Amino acid sequence: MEIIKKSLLKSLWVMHAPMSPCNNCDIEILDALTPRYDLERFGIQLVGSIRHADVLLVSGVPNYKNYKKLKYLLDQAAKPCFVVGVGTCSCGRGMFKDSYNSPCNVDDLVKVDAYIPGCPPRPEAIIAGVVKLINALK
Amino acid sequence: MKKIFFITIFFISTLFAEKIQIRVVASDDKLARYIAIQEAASKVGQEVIVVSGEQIHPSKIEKISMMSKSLLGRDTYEYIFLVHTKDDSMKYSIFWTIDKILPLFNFLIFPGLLFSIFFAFIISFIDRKLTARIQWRQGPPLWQGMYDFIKLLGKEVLIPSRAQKTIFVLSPIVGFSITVLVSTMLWLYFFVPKYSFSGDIIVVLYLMTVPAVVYMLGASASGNVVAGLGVSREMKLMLSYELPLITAILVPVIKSSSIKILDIMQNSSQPIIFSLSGFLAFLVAVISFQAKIGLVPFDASEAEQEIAGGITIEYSGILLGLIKLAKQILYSIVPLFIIMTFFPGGGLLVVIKYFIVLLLFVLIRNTNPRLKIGQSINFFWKIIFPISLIAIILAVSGK
Ligand code: SF4
Repeated sequence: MEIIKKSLLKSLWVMHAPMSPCNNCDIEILDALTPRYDLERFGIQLVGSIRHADVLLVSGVPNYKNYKKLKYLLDQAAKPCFVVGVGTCSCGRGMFKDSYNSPCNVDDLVKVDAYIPGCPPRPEAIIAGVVKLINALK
Repeated sequence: MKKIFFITIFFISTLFAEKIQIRVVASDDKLARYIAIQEAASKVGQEVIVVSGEQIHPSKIEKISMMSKSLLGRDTYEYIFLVHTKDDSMKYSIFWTIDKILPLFNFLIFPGLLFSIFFAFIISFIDRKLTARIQWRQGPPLWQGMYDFIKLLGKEVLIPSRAQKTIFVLSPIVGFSITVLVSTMLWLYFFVPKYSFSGDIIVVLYLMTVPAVVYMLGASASGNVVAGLGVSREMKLMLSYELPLITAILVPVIKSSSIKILDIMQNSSQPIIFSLSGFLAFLVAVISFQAKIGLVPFDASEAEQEIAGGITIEYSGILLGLIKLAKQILYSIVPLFIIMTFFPGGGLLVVIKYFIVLLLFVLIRNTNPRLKIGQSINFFWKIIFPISLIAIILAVSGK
Protein backbone atom coordinates (compact mmCIF):
# COMPACT_ATOMS: atom_id res chain seq x y z
CA MET A 1 0.00 0.00 0.00
CA GLU A 2 2.95 2.25 0.73
CA ILE A 3 4.13 1.85 -2.86
CA ILE A 4 0.72 2.70 -4.30
CA LYS A 5 0.62 5.89 -2.27
CA LYS A 6 4.15 6.76 -3.30
CA SER A 7 3.32 6.22 -6.96
CA LEU A 8 0.13 8.24 -6.61
CA LEU A 9 2.13 11.22 -5.40
CA LYS A 10 4.58 10.79 -8.28
CA SER A 11 1.93 10.69 -10.98
CA LEU A 12 -0.91 13.08 -10.27
CA TRP A 13 -3.16 13.42 -13.28
CA VAL A 14 -4.97 16.70 -13.28
CA MET A 15 -8.35 17.64 -14.66
CA HIS A 16 -9.49 21.19 -14.95
CA ALA A 17 -13.01 22.07 -13.82
CA PRO A 18 -13.89 25.71 -14.54
CA MET A 19 -16.79 26.89 -12.35
CA SER A 20 -17.50 30.09 -14.32
CA PRO A 21 -14.13 31.78 -13.80
CA CYS A 22 -13.11 34.97 -15.58
CA ASN A 23 -10.75 32.79 -17.71
CA ASN A 24 -7.58 34.26 -16.25
CA CYS A 25 -7.02 31.39 -13.86
CA ASP A 26 -7.53 28.87 -16.70
CA ILE A 27 -4.85 30.52 -18.74
CA GLU A 28 -2.45 30.45 -15.79
CA ILE A 29 -3.18 26.73 -15.30
CA LEU A 30 -2.33 26.11 -18.94
CA ASP A 31 0.80 28.22 -18.47
CA ALA A 32 1.95 25.93 -15.70
CA LEU A 33 1.87 23.03 -18.15
CA THR A 34 3.94 24.74 -20.85
CA PRO A 35 7.62 23.85 -21.42
CA ARG A 36 8.85 26.76 -19.34
CA TYR A 37 7.42 25.36 -16.09
CA ASP A 38 7.15 21.72 -17.25
CA LEU A 39 4.94 20.00 -14.69
CA GLU A 40 5.68 16.64 -16.35
CA ARG A 41 8.93 16.39 -14.38
CA PHE A 42 6.76 15.77 -11.29
CA GLY A 43 4.67 13.30 -13.27
CA ILE A 44 1.77 15.74 -13.52
CA GLN A 45 -0.31 15.43 -16.67
CA LEU A 46 -3.44 17.16 -17.90
CA VAL A 47 -6.17 14.64 -18.73
CA GLY A 48 -9.48 15.24 -20.41
CA SER A 49 -11.70 12.73 -18.65
CA ILE A 50 -12.74 12.82 -15.00
CA ARG A 51 -12.38 9.03 -14.82
CA HIS A 52 -8.62 9.35 -15.28
CA ALA A 53 -8.12 12.26 -12.89
CA ASP A 54 -6.43 12.25 -9.48
CA VAL A 55 -6.72 15.99 -8.90
CA LEU A 56 -9.58 18.30 -9.79
CA LEU A 57 -8.44 21.89 -10.30
CA VAL A 58 -11.44 24.11 -9.61
CA SER A 59 -11.33 27.73 -10.64
CA GLY A 60 -13.95 30.47 -10.36
CA VAL A 61 -17.16 31.06 -8.42
CA PRO A 62 -19.97 28.54 -8.72
CA ASN A 63 -23.16 30.10 -10.05
CA TYR A 64 -26.78 28.99 -10.07
CA LYS A 65 -26.38 27.23 -13.38
CA ASN A 66 -23.45 25.00 -12.53
CA TYR A 67 -23.09 24.69 -8.75
CA LYS A 68 -24.81 21.29 -8.62
CA LYS A 69 -22.61 19.96 -11.37
CA LEU A 70 -19.37 20.20 -9.40
CA LYS A 71 -20.53 17.65 -6.87
CA TYR A 72 -21.88 15.51 -9.71
CA LEU A 73 -18.49 15.72 -11.44
CA LEU A 74 -16.60 14.69 -8.32
CA ASP A 75 -18.92 11.72 -7.81
CA GLN A 76 -17.90 10.44 -11.25
CA ALA A 77 -14.20 10.42 -10.35
CA ALA A 78 -12.32 7.27 -9.41
CA LYS A 79 -11.30 7.63 -5.76
CA PRO A 80 -8.90 8.81 -4.40
CA CYS A 81 -9.44 12.18 -6.09
CA PHE A 82 -8.29 15.44 -4.55
CA VAL A 83 -9.72 18.90 -5.08
CA VAL A 84 -7.56 22.00 -5.43
CA GLY A 85 -9.07 25.47 -5.56
CA VAL A 86 -7.14 27.77 -7.88
CA GLY A 87 -7.56 31.53 -7.52
CA THR A 88 -9.15 33.80 -4.96
CA CYS A 89 -12.57 33.11 -6.45
CA SER A 90 -12.54 29.42 -5.57
CA CYS A 91 -10.87 30.07 -2.21
CA GLY A 92 -13.51 32.40 -0.85
CA ARG A 93 -15.34 34.06 -3.73
CA GLY A 94 -13.34 37.30 -3.33
CA MET A 95 -15.29 40.30 -4.51
CA PHE A 96 -18.14 38.16 -5.85
CA LYS A 97 -19.12 37.13 -2.33
CA ASP A 98 -22.45 38.97 -2.25
CA SER A 99 -23.06 38.72 -5.95
CA TYR A 100 -26.65 38.07 -7.06
CA ASN A 101 -25.75 34.94 -9.07
CA SER A 102 -23.43 33.18 -6.64
CA PRO A 103 -25.14 30.74 -4.26
CA CYS A 104 -22.17 29.33 -2.33
CA ASN A 105 -18.45 28.74 -2.00
CA VAL A 106 -16.62 25.89 -3.67
CA ASP A 107 -15.88 24.40 -0.24
CA ASP A 108 -19.55 24.43 0.64
CA LEU A 109 -20.05 21.97 -2.19
CA VAL A 110 -17.03 19.66 -1.97
CA LYS A 111 -14.12 19.11 0.39
CA VAL A 112 -11.19 21.17 -0.89
CA ASP A 113 -7.73 19.73 -0.11
CA ALA A 114 -5.61 22.75 -1.07
CA TYR A 115 -6.20 26.43 -1.74
CA ILE A 116 -4.05 28.47 -4.08
CA PRO A 117 -4.89 32.17 -3.61
CA GLY A 118 -4.07 34.92 -6.10
CA CYS A 119 -6.00 36.73 -8.77
CA PRO A 120 -4.82 35.00 -10.86
CA PRO A 121 -2.08 32.96 -9.10
CA ARG A 122 1.19 32.84 -11.00
CA PRO A 123 2.24 29.44 -12.43
CA GLU A 124 4.94 29.32 -9.73
CA ALA A 125 2.24 29.68 -7.10
CA ILE A 126 0.22 26.86 -8.69
CA ILE A 127 3.28 24.57 -8.70
CA ALA A 128 4.04 25.52 -5.07
CA GLY A 129 0.44 24.74 -4.16
CA VAL A 130 0.59 21.32 -5.79
CA VAL A 131 3.90 20.56 -4.06
CA LYS A 132 2.33 21.57 -0.73
CA LEU A 133 -0.57 19.23 -1.44
CA ILE A 134 1.88 16.38 -2.17
CA ASN A 135 3.79 17.09 1.05
CA ALA A 136 0.60 17.22 3.06
CA LEU A 137 -0.52 13.86 1.69
CA LYS A 138 2.79 12.14 2.54
CA MET B 1 17.42 -16.81 -2.36
CA LYS B 2 20.65 -17.88 -4.02
CA LYS B 3 18.96 -21.03 -5.20
CA ILE B 4 16.16 -19.09 -6.84
CA PHE B 5 18.69 -16.85 -8.53
CA PHE B 6 20.62 -19.75 -10.00
CA ILE B 7 17.51 -21.57 -11.05
CA THR B 8 16.41 -18.42 -12.89
CA ILE B 9 19.74 -18.23 -14.70
CA PHE B 10 19.40 -21.89 -15.45
CA PHE B 11 15.99 -21.38 -17.03
CA ILE B 12 17.22 -18.54 -19.16
CA SER B 13 20.12 -20.69 -20.30
CA THR B 14 17.81 -23.51 -21.24
CA LEU B 15 16.27 -21.18 -23.79
CA PHE B 16 19.39 -21.66 -25.82
CA ALA B 17 19.81 -25.36 -25.19
CA GLU B 18 19.24 -27.77 -28.04
CA LYS B 19 17.23 -30.45 -26.26
CA ILE B 20 14.37 -29.42 -24.07
CA GLN B 21 14.00 -32.26 -21.62
CA ILE B 22 16.61 -31.71 -18.96
CA ARG B 23 17.03 -32.90 -15.41
CA VAL B 24 18.49 -30.94 -12.55
CA VAL B 25 20.42 -32.51 -9.74
CA ALA B 26 21.33 -30.54 -6.66
CA SER B 27 23.98 -32.34 -4.73
CA ASP B 28 27.64 -32.33 -3.81
CA ASP B 29 27.66 -36.05 -4.00
CA LYS B 30 29.44 -37.72 -6.86
CA LEU B 31 27.22 -40.77 -6.46
CA ALA B 32 24.11 -38.65 -6.91
CA ARG B 33 25.45 -37.22 -10.12
CA TYR B 34 26.26 -40.68 -11.29
CA ILE B 35 22.72 -41.85 -10.56
CA ALA B 36 21.30 -38.90 -12.42
CA ILE B 37 23.42 -39.62 -15.43
CA GLN B 38 22.40 -43.23 -15.29
CA GLU B 39 18.75 -42.27 -15.14
CA ALA B 40 19.18 -40.04 -18.12
CA ALA B 41 21.08 -42.76 -19.86
CA SER B 42 18.12 -45.05 -19.51
CA LYS B 43 16.32 -42.69 -21.88
CA VAL B 44 18.89 -42.36 -24.58
CA GLY B 45 18.88 -39.12 -26.46
CA GLN B 46 18.16 -36.84 -23.53
CA GLU B 47 20.49 -34.13 -22.40
CA VAL B 48 21.67 -33.98 -18.82
CA ILE B 49 22.49 -31.01 -16.68
CA VAL B 50 24.24 -31.46 -13.38
CA VAL B 51 23.88 -28.74 -10.80
CA SER B 52 26.66 -29.09 -8.32
CA GLY B 53 27.38 -27.75 -4.85
CA GLU B 54 30.75 -26.19 -5.58
CA GLN B 55 32.78 -24.58 -8.30
CA ILE B 56 33.53 -27.51 -10.53
CA HIS B 57 37.09 -27.80 -11.63
CA PRO B 58 37.47 -28.12 -15.42
CA SER B 59 39.19 -31.47 -15.05
CA LYS B 60 36.23 -32.68 -13.03
CA ILE B 61 33.87 -31.59 -15.76
CA GLU B 62 35.90 -33.59 -18.17
CA LYS B 63 35.69 -36.58 -15.90
CA ILE B 64 31.94 -36.33 -15.59
CA SER B 65 31.47 -35.86 -19.28
CA MET B 66 33.69 -38.83 -20.02
CA MET B 67 31.61 -40.87 -17.63
CA SER B 68 28.44 -39.84 -19.37
CA LYS B 69 30.02 -40.38 -22.74
CA SER B 70 30.70 -43.97 -21.88
CA LEU B 71 27.13 -44.36 -20.74
CA LEU B 72 25.31 -42.54 -23.50
CA GLY B 73 27.80 -42.97 -26.24
CA ARG B 74 28.14 -39.21 -26.73
CA ASP B 75 28.71 -35.92 -24.95
CA THR B 76 25.79 -34.83 -22.84
CA TYR B 77 26.97 -31.62 -21.25
CA GLU B 78 25.78 -28.19 -22.17
CA TYR B 79 25.51 -26.14 -19.03
CA ILE B 80 26.75 -26.53 -15.52
CA PHE B 81 25.40 -24.27 -12.83
CA LEU B 82 25.92 -24.14 -9.11
CA VAL B 83 23.26 -24.51 -6.46
CA HIS B 84 24.28 -24.85 -2.83
CA THR B 85 22.49 -27.52 -0.88
CA LYS B 86 23.46 -27.88 2.75
CA ASP B 87 20.61 -30.24 3.41
CA ASP B 88 21.77 -33.85 3.71
CA SER B 89 18.40 -35.30 2.88
CA MET B 90 18.72 -33.83 -0.56
CA LYS B 91 21.50 -36.18 -1.51
CA TYR B 92 20.06 -36.25 -4.92
CA SER B 93 16.83 -34.75 -6.04
CA ILE B 94 15.44 -34.26 -9.44
CA PHE B 95 13.65 -30.95 -9.60
CA TRP B 96 11.77 -30.55 -12.76
CA THR B 97 10.94 -31.91 -16.09
CA ILE B 98 11.52 -28.71 -17.88
CA ASP B 99 9.37 -29.17 -20.93
CA LYS B 100 6.32 -28.69 -18.71
CA ILE B 101 7.51 -25.49 -17.11
CA LEU B 102 9.66 -23.84 -19.75
CA PRO B 103 6.81 -22.49 -21.92
CA LEU B 104 5.14 -21.07 -18.81
CA PHE B 105 8.40 -19.47 -17.78
CA ASN B 106 8.85 -18.09 -21.29
CA PHE B 107 5.41 -16.59 -21.34
CA LEU B 108 5.40 -15.22 -17.80
CA ILE B 109 8.94 -14.13 -17.11
CA PHE B 110 11.77 -13.97 -19.55
CA PRO B 111 10.79 -12.85 -22.99
CA GLY B 112 7.14 -12.73 -21.95
CA LEU B 113 5.07 -10.74 -19.50
CA LEU B 114 7.58 -9.40 -16.98
CA PHE B 115 10.34 -8.65 -19.46
CA SER B 116 7.92 -7.01 -21.92
CA ILE B 117 6.47 -4.81 -19.21
CA PHE B 118 9.83 -3.58 -17.99
CA PHE B 119 11.10 -3.08 -21.51
CA ALA B 120 7.95 -1.13 -22.34
CA PHE B 121 8.48 1.12 -19.31
CA ILE B 122 12.01 1.87 -20.44
CA ILE B 123 10.96 2.55 -24.03
CA SER B 124 8.09 4.79 -22.95
CA PHE B 125 10.55 6.70 -20.76
CA ILE B 126 12.92 7.17 -23.70
CA ASP B 127 10.01 8.31 -25.86
CA ARG B 128 8.74 10.82 -23.30
CA LYS B 129 12.21 12.08 -22.45
CA LEU B 130 13.10 12.63 -26.11
CA THR B 131 9.77 14.38 -26.65
CA ALA B 132 10.50 16.59 -23.66
CA ARG B 133 13.97 17.46 -24.90
CA ILE B 134 12.62 18.27 -28.36
CA GLN B 135 10.12 20.61 -26.71
CA TRP B 136 12.95 22.11 -24.66
CA ARG B 137 11.91 20.90 -21.24
CA GLN B 138 13.10 18.51 -18.58
CA GLY B 139 10.82 15.50 -18.95
CA PRO B 140 9.66 12.82 -16.52
CA PRO B 141 11.84 10.62 -14.25
CA LEU B 142 13.00 7.16 -15.36
CA TRP B 143 10.25 5.02 -13.81
CA GLN B 144 7.37 7.37 -14.58
CA GLY B 145 5.57 4.68 -16.60
CA MET B 146 5.78 2.32 -13.65
CA TYR B 147 4.50 4.96 -11.21
CA ASP B 148 1.54 5.64 -13.49
CA PHE B 149 0.72 1.96 -13.72
CA ILE B 150 1.04 1.22 -9.99
CA LYS B 151 -1.03 4.29 -9.19
CA LEU B 152 -3.79 3.07 -11.50
CA LEU B 153 -3.70 -0.31 -9.72
CA GLY B 154 -4.68 1.46 -6.50
CA LYS B 155 -7.50 3.49 -7.97
CA GLU B 156 -11.16 2.63 -7.92
CA VAL B 157 -12.60 0.84 -10.96
CA LEU B 158 -15.80 2.49 -12.13
CA ILE B 159 -18.23 0.78 -14.47
CA PRO B 160 -20.86 3.05 -16.02
CA SER B 161 -24.41 2.01 -15.15
CA ARG B 162 -25.42 2.05 -18.81
CA ALA B 163 -22.50 -0.12 -19.91
CA GLN B 164 -22.64 -3.70 -21.14
CA LYS B 165 -20.52 -4.82 -18.21
CA THR B 166 -18.94 -8.08 -19.40
CA ILE B 167 -17.58 -6.69 -22.67
CA PHE B 168 -16.57 -3.44 -20.99
CA VAL B 169 -14.45 -5.24 -18.38
CA LEU B 170 -13.13 -8.03 -20.58
CA SER B 171 -11.92 -5.94 -23.52
CA PRO B 172 -8.84 -4.33 -21.85
CA ILE B 173 -7.87 -7.69 -20.36
CA VAL B 174 -8.10 -9.49 -23.70
CA GLY B 175 -6.32 -6.66 -25.51
CA PHE B 176 -3.51 -6.68 -22.96
CA SER B 177 -2.98 -10.43 -23.02
CA ILE B 178 -2.91 -10.51 -26.81
CA THR B 179 -0.36 -7.72 -26.92
CA VAL B 180 1.80 -9.64 -24.45
CA LEU B 181 1.42 -12.74 -26.62
CA VAL B 182 2.68 -10.89 -29.70
CA SER B 183 5.53 -9.46 -27.68
CA THR B 184 6.49 -12.91 -26.36
CA MET B 185 6.44 -14.37 -29.86
CA LEU B 186 8.64 -11.65 -31.33
CA TRP B 187 11.15 -11.70 -28.48
CA LEU B 188 11.32 -15.50 -28.59
CA TYR B 189 12.08 -15.39 -32.32
CA PHE B 190 14.65 -12.74 -31.64
CA PHE B 191 16.49 -14.73 -28.95
CA VAL B 192 15.73 -18.27 -30.12
CA PRO B 193 14.91 -18.23 -33.85
CA LYS B 194 14.24 -21.97 -33.89
CA TYR B 195 10.79 -21.45 -32.33
CA SER B 196 9.63 -19.78 -35.54
CA PHE B 197 6.95 -21.75 -37.40
CA SER B 198 5.61 -21.54 -40.92
CA GLY B 199 3.08 -18.73 -41.34
CA ASP B 200 3.97 -16.91 -38.15
CA ILE B 201 4.24 -13.52 -39.85
CA ILE B 202 0.52 -13.78 -40.63
CA VAL B 203 -0.19 -14.72 -37.03
CA VAL B 204 1.79 -11.74 -35.76
CA LEU B 205 0.03 -9.29 -38.10
CA TYR B 206 -3.34 -10.76 -37.22
CA LEU B 207 -2.70 -10.63 -33.47
CA MET B 208 -1.54 -7.03 -33.73
CA THR B 209 -4.92 -6.11 -35.23
CA VAL B 210 -6.98 -7.76 -32.51
CA PRO B 211 -6.32 -5.28 -29.63
CA ALA B 212 -7.68 -2.33 -31.64
CA VAL B 213 -10.85 -4.27 -32.48
CA VAL B 214 -11.28 -5.33 -28.87
CA TYR B 215 -10.88 -1.78 -27.57
CA MET B 216 -13.48 -0.61 -30.06
CA LEU B 217 -15.87 -3.25 -28.71
CA GLY B 218 -15.18 -2.21 -25.12
CA ALA B 219 -15.59 1.47 -25.84
CA SER B 220 -18.86 1.02 -27.66
CA ALA B 221 -20.06 -1.14 -24.75
CA SER B 222 -19.45 1.76 -22.36
CA GLY B 223 -22.55 3.62 -23.52
CA ASN B 224 -20.74 6.94 -23.76
CA VAL B 225 -21.40 9.17 -26.77
CA VAL B 226 -17.87 10.54 -26.91
CA ALA B 227 -16.43 7.03 -26.71
CA GLY B 228 -18.67 6.22 -29.68
CA LEU B 229 -17.07 9.09 -31.58
CA GLY B 230 -13.66 7.68 -30.77
CA VAL B 231 -14.74 4.25 -31.96
CA SER B 232 -15.98 5.62 -35.27
CA ARG B 233 -12.69 7.42 -35.83
CA GLU B 234 -10.63 4.38 -34.83
CA MET B 235 -12.62 2.24 -37.23
CA LYS B 236 -12.06 4.59 -40.15
CA LEU B 237 -8.39 4.83 -39.30
CA MET B 238 -8.10 1.05 -39.20
CA LEU B 239 -9.75 0.74 -42.60
CA SER B 240 -7.13 3.09 -43.98
CA TYR B 241 -3.87 1.83 -42.44
CA GLU B 242 -4.36 -1.95 -42.47
CA LEU B 243 -4.12 -2.48 -46.22
CA PRO B 244 -0.94 -0.43 -46.82
CA LEU B 245 0.65 -2.13 -43.81
CA ILE B 246 -0.03 -5.62 -45.09
CA THR B 247 1.11 -4.75 -48.62
CA ALA B 248 4.30 -3.29 -47.17
CA ILE B 249 5.01 -6.45 -45.14
CA LEU B 250 4.37 -8.47 -48.32
CA VAL B 251 7.56 -7.07 -49.86
CA PRO B 252 9.94 -8.97 -47.53
CA VAL B 253 7.68 -12.00 -47.94
CA ILE B 254 8.02 -11.83 -51.75
CA LYS B 255 11.76 -11.21 -51.53
CA SER B 256 12.43 -14.25 -49.37
CA SER B 257 9.49 -16.25 -50.79
CA SER B 258 8.50 -17.48 -47.35
CA ILE B 259 5.90 -16.61 -44.73
CA LYS B 260 8.16 -17.65 -41.87
CA ILE B 261 9.88 -14.90 -39.89
CA LEU B 262 12.99 -17.06 -39.49
CA ASP B 263 13.38 -17.39 -43.29
CA ILE B 264 12.81 -13.68 -43.78
CA MET B 265 15.52 -13.03 -41.21
CA GLN B 266 18.03 -15.44 -42.74
CA ASN B 267 17.37 -15.95 -46.44
CA SER B 268 18.05 -12.55 -47.90
CA SER B 269 21.59 -12.08 -49.15
CA GLN B 270 21.46 -8.35 -48.49
CA PRO B 271 19.07 -6.54 -46.11
CA ILE B 272 15.75 -5.91 -47.82
CA ILE B 273 15.80 -2.21 -47.00
CA PHE B 274 18.74 -1.61 -49.38
CA SER B 275 16.68 -2.41 -52.46
CA LEU B 276 14.33 0.21 -53.91
CA SER B 277 11.16 -1.75 -53.23
CA GLY B 278 12.35 -2.59 -49.72
CA PHE B 279 13.01 1.05 -48.94
CA LEU B 280 9.56 2.15 -50.13
CA ALA B 281 7.95 -0.66 -48.16
CA PHE B 282 9.93 0.34 -45.08
CA LEU B 283 8.63 3.91 -45.27
CA VAL B 284 5.05 2.69 -45.70
CA ALA B 285 5.44 0.27 -42.78
CA VAL B 286 6.80 2.98 -40.46
CA ILE B 287 3.94 5.35 -41.26
CA SER B 288 1.28 2.64 -40.99
CA PHE B 289 2.66 1.45 -37.67
CA GLN B 290 2.58 5.03 -36.47
CA ALA B 291 -1.17 4.94 -37.04
CA LYS B 292 -1.49 1.48 -35.53
CA ILE B 293 0.16 2.49 -32.26
CA GLY B 294 -1.94 5.67 -32.28
CA LEU B 295 0.89 8.19 -32.22
CA VAL B 296 0.38 11.85 -32.89
CA PRO B 297 -0.39 12.58 -36.49
CA PHE B 298 -2.95 9.76 -36.40
CA ASP B 299 -4.26 9.89 -32.84
CA ALA B 300 -7.64 11.40 -33.68
CA SER B 301 -9.38 8.49 -31.97
CA GLU B 302 -7.80 9.30 -28.61
CA ALA B 303 -7.54 13.06 -28.92
CA GLU B 304 -7.32 14.48 -25.38
CA GLN B 305 -8.31 17.99 -26.39
CA GLU B 306 -11.37 17.33 -28.56
CA ILE B 307 -12.93 14.11 -27.32
CA ALA B 308 -11.21 13.71 -23.95
CA GLY B 309 -9.49 10.38 -24.41
CA GLY B 310 -11.93 8.95 -26.96
CA ILE B 311 -12.09 5.19 -26.61
CA THR B 312 -10.52 5.23 -23.13
CA ILE B 313 -12.83 7.91 -21.72
CA GLU B 314 -14.93 5.69 -19.46
CA TYR B 315 -12.10 3.48 -18.22
CA SER B 316 -10.54 4.00 -14.82
CA GLY B 317 -8.25 2.18 -12.43
CA ILE B 318 -6.58 -1.03 -13.47
CA LEU B 319 -8.55 -1.31 -16.73
CA LEU B 320 -7.15 2.02 -17.91
CA GLY B 321 -3.72 0.90 -16.72
CA LEU B 322 -3.92 -2.25 -18.85
CA ILE B 323 -4.90 -0.27 -21.95
CA LYS B 324 -2.03 2.19 -21.48
CA LEU B 325 0.45 -0.59 -20.73
CA ALA B 326 -0.63 -2.58 -23.78
CA LYS B 327 -0.09 0.50 -25.92
CA GLN B 328 3.40 0.95 -24.51
CA ILE B 329 4.24 -2.72 -25.09
CA LEU B 330 3.05 -2.44 -28.69
CA TYR B 331 5.16 0.68 -29.08
CA SER B 332 8.22 -1.18 -27.77
CA ILE B 333 7.91 -4.22 -30.07
CA VAL B 334 7.03 -2.48 -33.33
CA PRO B 335 10.64 -1.32 -33.97
CA LEU B 336 11.75 -4.90 -33.26
CA PHE B 337 9.28 -6.26 -35.80
CA ILE B 338 10.43 -3.75 -38.42
CA ILE B 339 14.07 -4.68 -37.81
CA MET B 340 13.30 -8.39 -38.04
CA THR B 341 11.50 -8.05 -41.35
CA PHE B 342 13.49 -5.31 -43.08
CA PHE B 343 17.08 -5.39 -41.87
CA PRO B 344 17.79 -8.34 -39.57
CA GLY B 345 21.09 -9.58 -38.21
CA GLY B 346 24.18 -7.73 -37.12
CA GLY B 347 24.79 -8.89 -33.55
CA LEU B 348 24.97 -5.99 -31.09
CA LEU B 349 24.25 -3.56 -33.92
CA VAL B 350 20.61 -4.47 -33.33
CA VAL B 351 20.51 -2.05 -30.39
CA ILE B 352 21.60 0.83 -32.61
CA LYS B 353 19.12 -0.17 -35.33
CA TYR B 354 16.36 -0.38 -32.76
CA PHE B 355 17.04 3.12 -31.55
CA ILE B 356 17.22 4.53 -35.07
CA VAL B 357 13.75 3.15 -35.84
CA LEU B 358 12.45 4.34 -32.48
CA LEU B 359 13.88 7.79 -33.12
CA LEU B 360 12.05 7.84 -36.45
CA PHE B 361 8.76 7.24 -34.63
CA VAL B 362 9.51 9.90 -32.01
CA LEU B 363 10.50 12.47 -34.63
CA ILE B 364 7.42 11.90 -36.79
CA ARG B 365 5.32 12.13 -33.67
CA ASN B 366 6.86 15.41 -32.56
CA THR B 367 7.05 17.30 -35.82
CA ASN B 368 3.51 16.80 -37.07
CA PRO B 369 0.17 18.20 -35.98
CA ARG B 370 -2.82 15.91 -35.53
CA LEU B 371 -4.63 15.13 -38.77
CA LYS B 372 -8.39 15.21 -39.02
CA ILE B 373 -9.82 11.77 -39.63
CA GLY B 374 -10.75 12.61 -43.24
CA GLN B 375 -7.23 13.84 -43.89
CA SER B 376 -5.81 10.59 -42.48
CA ILE B 377 -8.01 8.51 -44.77
CA ASN B 378 -7.05 10.60 -47.80
CA PHE B 379 -3.40 10.38 -46.86
CA PHE B 380 -3.41 6.61 -46.54
CA TRP B 381 -5.57 5.80 -49.54
CA LYS B 382 -4.30 8.39 -52.00
CA ILE B 383 -0.57 8.55 -51.16
CA ILE B 384 0.58 5.66 -48.99
CA PHE B 385 -1.36 2.83 -50.63
CA PRO B 386 -0.16 3.60 -54.21
CA ILE B 387 3.41 3.75 -52.89
CA SER B 388 3.03 0.31 -51.33
CA LEU B 389 1.55 -1.01 -54.58
CA ILE B 390 4.56 0.34 -56.51
CA ALA B 391 6.83 -1.34 -53.96
CA ILE B 392 5.12 -4.67 -54.54
CA ILE B 393 5.37 -4.36 -58.33
CA LEU B 394 9.07 -3.53 -58.00
CA ALA B 395 9.59 -6.45 -55.64
CA VAL B 396 7.93 -8.90 -58.01
CA SER B 397 10.09 -7.65 -60.88
CA GLY B 398 13.13 -8.16 -58.70
CA LYS B 399 14.23 -4.60 -57.97
S1 SF4 C 1 -9.38 34.45 -9.04
FE1 SF4 C 1 -9.24 36.29 -10.28
S2 SF4 C 1 -8.33 35.56 -12.17
FE2 SF4 C 1 -9.09 33.76 -11.11
S3 SF4 C 1 -11.14 33.46 -11.91
FE3 SF4 C 1 -11.34 34.71 -10.07
S4 SF4 C 1 -11.32 36.80 -10.82
FE4 SF4 C 1 -10.54 35.52 -12.47
